[in-house]
Amino acid sequence: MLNKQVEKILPLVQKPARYTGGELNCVVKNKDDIKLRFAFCFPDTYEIGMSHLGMKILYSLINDRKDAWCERVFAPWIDMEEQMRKNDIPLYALESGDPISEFDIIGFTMQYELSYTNVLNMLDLAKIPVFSKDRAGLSQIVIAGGPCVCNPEPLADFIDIFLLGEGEEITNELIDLLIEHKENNSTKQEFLKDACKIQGVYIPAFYDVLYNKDGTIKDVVAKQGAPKKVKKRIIRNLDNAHYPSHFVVPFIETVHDRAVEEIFRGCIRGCRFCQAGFIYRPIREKSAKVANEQCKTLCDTSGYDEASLCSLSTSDYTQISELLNDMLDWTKDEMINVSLPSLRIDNFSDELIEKLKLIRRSGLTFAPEAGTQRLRDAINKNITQEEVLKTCNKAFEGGWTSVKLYFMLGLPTETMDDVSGIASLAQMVVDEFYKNPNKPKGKGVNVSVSASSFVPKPFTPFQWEPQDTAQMLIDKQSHLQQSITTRKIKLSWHDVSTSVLEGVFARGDRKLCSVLYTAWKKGCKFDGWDEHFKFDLWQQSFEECLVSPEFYANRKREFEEILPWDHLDYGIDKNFLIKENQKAHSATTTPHCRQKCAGCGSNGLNGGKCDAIG
Amino acid sequence: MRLVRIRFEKTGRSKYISHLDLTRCMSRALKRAQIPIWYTQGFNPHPYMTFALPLSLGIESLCESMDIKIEGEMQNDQIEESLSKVMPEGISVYSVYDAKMDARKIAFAQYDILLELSSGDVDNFVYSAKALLDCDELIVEKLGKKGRKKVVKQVNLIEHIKSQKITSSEKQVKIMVQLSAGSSANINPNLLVDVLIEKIGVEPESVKIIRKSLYTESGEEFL
Repeated sequence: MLNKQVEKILPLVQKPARYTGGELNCVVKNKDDIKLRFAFCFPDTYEIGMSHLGMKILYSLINDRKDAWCERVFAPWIDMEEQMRKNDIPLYALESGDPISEFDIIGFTMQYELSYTNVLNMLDLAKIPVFSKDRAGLSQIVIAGGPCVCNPEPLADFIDIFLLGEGEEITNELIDLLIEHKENNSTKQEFLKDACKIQGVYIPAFYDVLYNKDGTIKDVVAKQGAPKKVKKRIIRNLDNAHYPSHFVVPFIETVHDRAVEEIFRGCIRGCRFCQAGFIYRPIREKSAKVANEQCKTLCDTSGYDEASLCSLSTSDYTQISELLNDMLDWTKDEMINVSLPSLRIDNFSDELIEKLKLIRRSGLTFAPEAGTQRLRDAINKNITQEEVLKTCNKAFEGGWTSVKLYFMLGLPTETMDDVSGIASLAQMVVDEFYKNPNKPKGKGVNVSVSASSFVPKPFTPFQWEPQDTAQMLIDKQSHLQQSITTRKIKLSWHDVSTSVLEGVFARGDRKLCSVLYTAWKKGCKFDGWDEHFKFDLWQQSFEECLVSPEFYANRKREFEEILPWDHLDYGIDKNFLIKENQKAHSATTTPHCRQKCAGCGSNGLNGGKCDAIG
Repeated sequence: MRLVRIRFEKTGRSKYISHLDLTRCMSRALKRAQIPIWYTQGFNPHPYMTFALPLSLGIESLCESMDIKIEGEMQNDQIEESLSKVMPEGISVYSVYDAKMDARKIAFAQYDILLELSSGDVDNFVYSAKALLDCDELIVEKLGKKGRKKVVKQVNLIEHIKSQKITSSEKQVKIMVQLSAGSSANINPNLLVDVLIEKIGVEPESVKIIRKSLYTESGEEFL
């Protein structure tokens, strides 16, 4: 419900429907019938947050409980924040319109390092103290999950509880425990001491970090009975796991505004730069039958005219053919488009392309990631130039005329030859189009090259690698630009300073908490949005806090060094990562998990089971 | 294939749904209700829908009208029943019938404008508003189009007011007004509200505008 104060400011802001709630399928409960209120906070705009599958899953999971009510909260855009502060309106949840300071659990999903300032800003806007130590009671428990919490240390001073890994089971366990402690009138300390016994719960206040003189970590000491190492949680069987039957259907257009069906978790590929490829292991597939039924239900209850399959690599799904057959049966009649993101070049089969022709023809996007074979081998992106060209040819014959190619600059071992290799590969794709006798008639070709900057991430074989400095990245960008000689190729790249900051926070430790706080106090927020990114304020903050960003971003770590996330266990064996790192430096590839198990150790999380090896 | 007119209310929070968003919202509702709707036959087929008189963001309405084309057997009362079940909060279908009039015949729309004021301001506001509306001229600037260019036009609101009545209670002023509407001359009631507030110099606590009904040139209700 909207209160009068809010109604008054809505006409003054852009896209007021971001702040009204009341969308189809949103869940409204009676406050008196529930024991616990959960504010699910996404630290970015409504349009981005509403596209996030994890939030949809947990929203529906919590609201399936009779005793709890989960509501959605997004970061208000600058204009709305200004009005809210001016009119003294605290941050409220969309379903009830109640201030989230009244809630028991404030849960953030951490998808991106550059949204950290928004977490502080949202707490502040809610009139909730930003520091964990300043929140004493058994309500306003601030928790966080999502991929970024695999190294949550830069947020350690602000968050009470981190949930590592997949949230379906642990969220319910934590809610149960909090309800119990609320009924017993426990203290927050008593609750936290019990909570840390749940697998996957990491309470940063229960760990002391000791540093060496050079600033590296000497030791991390667990206290209050907290486990020495916290192990992430996974769902063993996706067919039985909770999946929403209803999505909240937004009125305004969001980034991904469609039915989404998750088909598997984990990835068999082991690309060495890719954090998702490691932290979501082991691979677990949903059966085609369940996926098809769930997707049909979602379309029926939402009225969406587009359904998308979601995973890290759609074409690696072993039942893709079966699933598409089942889906095309009903989607065709109901005028629903099926979209398949995350296709790989090497197993883009003729059969798949035939099916894709029945589906809507949008652009094709491939990610060779690096310009030369040597570098692709080093990062274990196991695709060859021939495969790239062959697939593009197939696509041209299938009527496509535009291809998007994704690359990264700043990968470990990269030379300027690798950089110009990106331009040559794109050029070969252009040439291939004109050589192809079966190309679409009367049309030119369009190759878009997107070059992002590589950021080394925890739990990858590159977690020890120095990140390229901003200057190195700028030099590579301009070298690439000069290497492109045709207008058929369009080049785009990312701002390097955001990549540098992302790199600092991705592998940072607790000393960054003060930098984060200082930068936020100076007015940093929405750092992921170029128009709001204030690098000068960040630089001032680093200086004031006597913290060197280079120490985190550009320093090479030795394998022996204790890393800030070493007391967190994501199931990946450190020796495996070391071996993979060494293989990268000798440009040796590792076969994917279905060809040969590489021994990453993650099947230990799943009772020794991994869907890649049966 | 039948041209079916769906009449609905758009009230409460749903007034913040823009016209473009409403189209998407309606096409999803039609899908959920499994209405056998006719799709445009093109490279990218989409459900055929046209709206009589797009409503501005922030205005509520009791008289919205959307036309669809129906293939197959579904009866109007059945369409009404199925659609009613799947509508989001604030949008409710009150009538479904075979389109009788061309939407281009719409010439006027009746609005209720509710202004909440502090009690001391009510009498002054009513008095001044009545005086302003009794003049021959009340000029406002309106953004119009000249070819493709956007230009500011001067419009005399009085010429576009077919009828008006002002009442008040302790803290509220209610202006009931019939304004030109439709494709040839469409007056957004906010123009009237803004000019009254500006000329009288009293800032209301809140403004609520509701579109009540649509009329043709001859004063018949739009059906």
